[in-house]
Amino acid sequence: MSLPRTTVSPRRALLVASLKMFYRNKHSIFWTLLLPVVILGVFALLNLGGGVSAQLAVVDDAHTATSQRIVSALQASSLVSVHQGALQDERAAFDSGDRDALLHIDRAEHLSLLLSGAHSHQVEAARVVVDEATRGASPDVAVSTVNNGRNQGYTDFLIPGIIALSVMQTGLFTVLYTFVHLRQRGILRRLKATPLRAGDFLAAQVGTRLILAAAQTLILVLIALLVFRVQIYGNVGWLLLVAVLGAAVFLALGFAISGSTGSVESAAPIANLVGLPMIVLSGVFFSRGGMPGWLHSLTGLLPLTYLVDGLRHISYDGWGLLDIRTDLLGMAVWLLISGALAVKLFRWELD
Amino acid sequence: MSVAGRPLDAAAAPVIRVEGLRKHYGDRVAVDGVSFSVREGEVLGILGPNGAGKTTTVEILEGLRTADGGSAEVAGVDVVRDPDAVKGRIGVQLQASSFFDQLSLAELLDLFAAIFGTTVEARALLRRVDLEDRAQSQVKQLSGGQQQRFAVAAALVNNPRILFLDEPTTGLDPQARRHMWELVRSFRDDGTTIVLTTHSMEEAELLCDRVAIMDAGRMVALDTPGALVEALLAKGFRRPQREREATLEDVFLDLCGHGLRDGDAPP
Repeated sequence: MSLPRTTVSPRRALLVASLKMFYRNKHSIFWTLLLPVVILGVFALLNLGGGVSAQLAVVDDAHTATSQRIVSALQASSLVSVHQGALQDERAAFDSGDRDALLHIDRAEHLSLLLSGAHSHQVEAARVVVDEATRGASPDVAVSTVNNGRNQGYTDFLIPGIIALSVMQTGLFTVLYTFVHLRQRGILRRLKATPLRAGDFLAAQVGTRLILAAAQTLILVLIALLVFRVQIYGNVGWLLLVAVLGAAVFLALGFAISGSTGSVESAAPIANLVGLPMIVLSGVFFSRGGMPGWLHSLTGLLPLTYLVDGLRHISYDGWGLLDIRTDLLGMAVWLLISGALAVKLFRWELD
Repeated sequence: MSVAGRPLDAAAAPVIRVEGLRKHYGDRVAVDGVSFSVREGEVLGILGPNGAGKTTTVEILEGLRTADGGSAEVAGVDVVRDPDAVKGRIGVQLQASSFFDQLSLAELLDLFAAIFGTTVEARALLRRVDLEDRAQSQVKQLSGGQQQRFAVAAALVNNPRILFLDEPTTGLDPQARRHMWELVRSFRDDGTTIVLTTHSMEEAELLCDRVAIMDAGRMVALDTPGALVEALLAKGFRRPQREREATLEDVFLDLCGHGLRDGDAPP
């Protein structure tokens, strides 16, 4: 009663086998799928973006003693940083999401406050500070709320960073660990004694992990949308595509490094040496905007920076693929270099 | 007539032919001009102290290492020129190797079959090595003897006519060792050509039609076990003391029985 059997290509058999192995390994499921969610949860709860002061636009067209008193009261507050300018410019800044609120004092001393629709500390702070500074003004401040690009909190900013981090984890860390483990145990040595070609083996490994990276991204996007109510402005399909491209970059990098790494014990420090600086320097958790110019340019060349920026431009800024061509190009260059190194350095066993 | 007590077809064509094989690692010469041939259906044992070049020689024949000189043909493939081409035609059981975790024995055999571009009746193959009841187990759950038998099963997925076994009984308890010997005998009876490396003289005497002894990269003797012993006696060699009729291993087996102890295996 055995089923009729047909031969399966080595590549496909290995791909199915490694997906099975992944599914049966509780550790790998934790590290690739659950840990990113936990990190996301922790950072979202801490809301580390909350310490940033509110960006308040103030347009004083009245130029009276009253209006100047209001402006200096606002400037004295530590909760907001005040931007003064022409109405046209400041409204444009508000609309593009660079301001949390805009207070306009017209020639007749009528006050109108425009608030971003974001449920952030900053918008709340701007409203309280303006309330305080305009107390007793007549007539009352006309308050309106408009959804601008500022309709985003720290979690919206964080999500693409976490996706990039998980993709790097899957590519660099788990590949390095798995591959070195397989070689140390002599599992690769056994495969070397079969007609299996190194290219087929690598293709199956890469295929498995690209599938995992896509699944990982999809899960994070779903949790972001359903649990954290995050707004994703760009196309989720492009987001997945960029994540998978990023995964390919880190896979190649992982294989290139593992080519000459003998033991699991030496793989961990190497992975950390490569990975940790990028986690800190590539703007995963915080914007790289505060870096000195030279450091900003230098860290802009890191593969994780290209991935974080690409994902963030799609998710946070709503950009299309053409808009992030610099990041795509950066990733492509890294992929070519590390891919070539991976193939060149591949070893079934170390002599 | 071999010591193992079966007639060998002296006219059978050699399926392995090695001529002046050389391999060095840096300054160290591992294999220093080794020549021999193995006839179809023959069991050849390669003996020698550690570092004698046994494993290197065998690994060249298996396509795992490249040779520096000489010629070697296995199953019609020139392994010096094209080491990869031989891998699909032979079966190998390796030292210091293992199999994927998280896959069952049956899944591993299916995977290996796919790698060899063929299909396999995993259960039938496992029955062949007495592991049918462990088809759903993982390799790490097996005892040492079971792991070695599984390694042999994996070497059989492509139904090879030539089998390389590298120290198949090293580290096994006496019962498991005898079980492996039975297995090797059954392959021999099916007409499979076997190249076996071992440190056990008893194993070589019991299983091998001919024995090659290597030392320091050279082959110092190659003949049937009986002829090698005769040659030594002819030189005037006598054992200083007559051996007792039984050994400590006989005592062990008398006390513990011949039955296999596979630890967690069901009785």
